[in-house]
Amino acid sequence: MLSRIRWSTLGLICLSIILFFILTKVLNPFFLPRLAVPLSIIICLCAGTVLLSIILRPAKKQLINMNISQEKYKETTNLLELSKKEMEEKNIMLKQRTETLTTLNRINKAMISTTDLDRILGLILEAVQKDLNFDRTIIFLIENGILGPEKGVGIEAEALEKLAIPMKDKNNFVIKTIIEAKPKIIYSIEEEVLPKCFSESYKNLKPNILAAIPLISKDKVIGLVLVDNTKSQREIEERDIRNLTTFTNQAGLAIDNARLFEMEKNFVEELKRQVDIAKRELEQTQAQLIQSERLSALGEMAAVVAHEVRNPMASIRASAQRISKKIANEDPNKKYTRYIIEESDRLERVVKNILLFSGDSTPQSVDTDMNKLLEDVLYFLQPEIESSQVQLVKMFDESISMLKIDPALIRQVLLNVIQNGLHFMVNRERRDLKVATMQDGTNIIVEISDTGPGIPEENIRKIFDPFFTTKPSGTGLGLAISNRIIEAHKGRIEVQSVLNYGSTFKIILPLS
Amino acid sequence: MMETILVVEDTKYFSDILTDELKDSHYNVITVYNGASALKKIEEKMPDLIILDVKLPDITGTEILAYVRQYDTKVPVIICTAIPSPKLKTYYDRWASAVIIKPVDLDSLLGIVKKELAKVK
Repeated sequence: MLSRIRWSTLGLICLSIILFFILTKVLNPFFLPRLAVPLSIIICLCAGTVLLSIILRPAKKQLINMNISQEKYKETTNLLELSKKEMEEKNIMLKQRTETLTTLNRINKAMISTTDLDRILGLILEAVQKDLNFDRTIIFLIENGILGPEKGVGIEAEALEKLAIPMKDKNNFVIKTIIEAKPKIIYSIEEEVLPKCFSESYKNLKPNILAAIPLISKDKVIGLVLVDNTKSQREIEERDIRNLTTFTNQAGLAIDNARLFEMEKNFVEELKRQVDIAKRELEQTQAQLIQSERLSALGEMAAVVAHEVRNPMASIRASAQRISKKIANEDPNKKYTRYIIEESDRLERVVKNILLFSGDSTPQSVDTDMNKLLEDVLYFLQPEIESSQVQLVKMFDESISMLKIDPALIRQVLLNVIQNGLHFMVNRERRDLKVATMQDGTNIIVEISDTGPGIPEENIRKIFDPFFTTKPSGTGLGLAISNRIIEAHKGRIEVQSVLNYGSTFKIILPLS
Repeated sequence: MMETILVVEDTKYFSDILTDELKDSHYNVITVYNGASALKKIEEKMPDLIILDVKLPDITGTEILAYVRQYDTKVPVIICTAIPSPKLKTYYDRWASAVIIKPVDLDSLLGIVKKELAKVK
């Protein structure tokens, strides 16, 4: 183009010179030579200008075009630069994304392989921390109307515990996030309400350093991840939240699954426990049934035995009594009649106990003052207590309520237990008998402690069995009857015993 | 005048002892071994006191008590039994003077007899 212009201009100059010479020659005859030369110059210049403009028109166009092209070129270069930059950025992002996905994949695999909620929470926190590096990350889960802090990093356990938020406090941003089910960065502190319990742990707040991301499983919010940079004051970006959401989407499901598994595990355990209880109850019922069958058989037998024993016994005893009356006191044979009478009485006691044990011991309940009943029993036993030099300690709670019991039956229980205690303290160095009453809610407790030799472990369970005795002259029915009487009153007897130290019998009777 | 005591007791030895003991204590004693004889004696003449065994070969002492109470609500009746029925407790409380359980202490029995006789005198 330029060379064309150059040649055209050169040609034009030549043409103008030729035209000038022709014009001077032509105009010379008509004008004065003085006028002809300038006139020729003017005409030449005009013609040159016109021609030049004609020649240069395409050149100008070309020039404009060239400028446009040049600009376009620049623009393209810029665009290229931009694309390059963008590509680089995208590359970085892709790399990050790949990393995130790799971590996520690893976490997912780990989460699938475990059903331990605590471990899953740990994995989530580990991933979030590694990938996004917040100052603090806390996982909250909703349970029983409370959003409770389950696990966190960058926070002390003690501070973490304090962060429980009731779900009904709907005005704070945490619960709001859960209700809206959308991640939220706190842009403006003034506009958002912080939960009350946060005042201690979330000081120095400024915009964009605190964010909440709901944990969602099966379209239901099950908790929340709270992240903040209150320490570093580094702003949390939308990108951080996007990355975090990638985790939370998976985490929600994993947590939910773990919880379901835990629930199921608990349910199975509970079921097992209930089956165990039922089994134990069944065994107990069976044992009771056997016991009651035994007792009813014993009852029938007892009635027959009592009748068959008591009638001849009546004759034996009365005969002995008649003879005794006829024999003079000095007669050495008189003692034999006494033996007959005493032994008859002993046999009668056995019969009476068997009847009491097997018979209908439905209590005839009346309002009774347990302290007074105990006083009566102890008064009755006073000679025995004194003769065996037993130290008696009474610790009666005077404020205990009246009991609805059969005083005659309970009196027999108290007599049995206290007499046992006294019996086993004979020949002991220390002979202390402690009798205490107390009220424990809806129960009246009578505690009878002795300093006897104690009950060997293997005998503890047997002491309430009928006919079990370690006393040479015992019938083995005293405690068995006592236990039945207390059971008939819907109470129970507890025994604690330490060998060579003593035993404590706790008679527990319900007030109603 | 000696008081008459009717002893209704089917155990031969025991009725013997009772009779002797009461006689020693200066009572007029009529001893029978079954319900039928007892009712016959009661019909003949109401005794001053009756000692009544419950289990008899024919009828029960409780039935005899009921029969007695049709005619006489005052005469003391002492029930003497090996096994007192819990079901009859209220009945005896209402209609019998005392219930004593075998084997009995003869002195206690005599004490009760004396006391009951004194009541109706």
